[in-house]
Amino acid sequence: MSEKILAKVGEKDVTSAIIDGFYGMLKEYTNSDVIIVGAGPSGLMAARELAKAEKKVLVIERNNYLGGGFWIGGFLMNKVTVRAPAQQLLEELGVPYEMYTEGLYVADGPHACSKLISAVCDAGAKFLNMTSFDDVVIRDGRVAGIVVNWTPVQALPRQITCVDPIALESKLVIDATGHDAFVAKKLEERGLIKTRGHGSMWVEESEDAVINHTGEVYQGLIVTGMAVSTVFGLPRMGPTFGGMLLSGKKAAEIALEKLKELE
Amino acid sequence: MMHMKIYVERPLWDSFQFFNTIRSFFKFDVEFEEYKFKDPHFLAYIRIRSPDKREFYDPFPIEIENERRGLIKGVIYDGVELLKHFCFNIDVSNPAVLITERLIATFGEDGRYHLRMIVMGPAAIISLKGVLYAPAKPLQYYLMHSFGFDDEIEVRVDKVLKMLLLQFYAYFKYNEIFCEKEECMLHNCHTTEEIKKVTGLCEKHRKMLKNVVNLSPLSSKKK
Repeated sequence: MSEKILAKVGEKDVTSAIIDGFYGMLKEYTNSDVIIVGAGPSGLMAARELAKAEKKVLVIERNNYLGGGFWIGGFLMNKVTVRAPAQQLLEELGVPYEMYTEGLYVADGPHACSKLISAVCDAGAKFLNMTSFDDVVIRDGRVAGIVVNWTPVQALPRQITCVDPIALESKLVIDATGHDAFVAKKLEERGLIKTRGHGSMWVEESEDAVINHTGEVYQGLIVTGMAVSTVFGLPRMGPTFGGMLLSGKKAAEIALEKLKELE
Repeated sequence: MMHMKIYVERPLWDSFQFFNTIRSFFKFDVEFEEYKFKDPHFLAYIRIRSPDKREFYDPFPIEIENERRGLIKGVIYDGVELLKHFCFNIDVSNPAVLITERLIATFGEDGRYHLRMIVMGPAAIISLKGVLYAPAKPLQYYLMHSFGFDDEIEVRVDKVLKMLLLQFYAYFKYNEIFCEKEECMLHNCHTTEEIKKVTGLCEKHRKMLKNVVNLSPLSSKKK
């Protein structure tokens, strides 16, 4: 009789482990310091910095996979480029990279993206993937959380998906939802801010502009990454990621300042 | 006595390399002065937000703060509004030009904004970055950029500056708007290839402008 390799456990134990693990986490994170909507490079970078600073961070991602467009560079080619000084962040994350020309660095997308995700997990942030942003929670004139639902709910006919969403509270929300700027747009629907929509004119300095404009656009809401482009109407960018990483880092720095003010 | 006043916006003033080039180009006096816009709210207000809409928005506080701190990389301004604002603050009885690093664009009849090297009216604004970005480049340049690689932009800034200043002077003094001849400095160039074809003044404009410019510096090969 052959010896078993894996321990014997019952099916109900496996199910219980998943339920207890997930719902324990969900209950704990009904209230966080910061909720980050979107797990692309800017959202992940912000999550890593905030979690490293021992803040309670929850990242919401509508897809099953994390990383957004950071797996792939341009034209489905899985090399990602960053411009100086963003290679220092690759260095920090332990991502191997090469200098292509002065100031331009190239790394393997899968390596860079998986290292960044891993760094966020190591820092202690938690994820809700397959979870879609639905609405904002506004309290006393500031963003105080978000409303979410399972992503599949949105994809099914309404007649069979009358599933109410749930609300999660936080001191701050970071919109890292890319060009869609879903969170900022929701504030616009309520007449609280006016976004400009990202422009299609390309200028070399558009990454700088994204970093410079990363910040709080409404009490409690910080925008980062390509969402910055949409909110401020900045020119579009080329397929380089340094601006995204640095914007995420700046969003975290601003969030830390705001959290200090709220204490 | 005719003279031209050229304002150079801070912080470009400190690194501006063309004082002597411009002085030796014109036969009349050219006076330079450092310039600073004083209303960050207005500058944030006239930013272009969409290439196909001429709409202005109340700025976010961070945009006004970034204007104050000079963090304006990647920002594009409505050139007509910027020029109107500039004209309010200066004497326009003699030709006056602002040279800036800001990117400027104007809304065209095709319903889209286009980056500009110069915007002219009672005075003129020349964008040094516009000199690099506004003229269309050969296809290769855009292909390289689409993959994230920088390719050298071959533009002789000194030559283009002389062309733009002379175009404004001809407009200011003679109401002359551009020249159809592609070798003429008054030709309205839209591409880097067109700029390369400019060699001097056509016969008509040589007669008009021979007493105000020294044309020899244009033949300089210096980039």
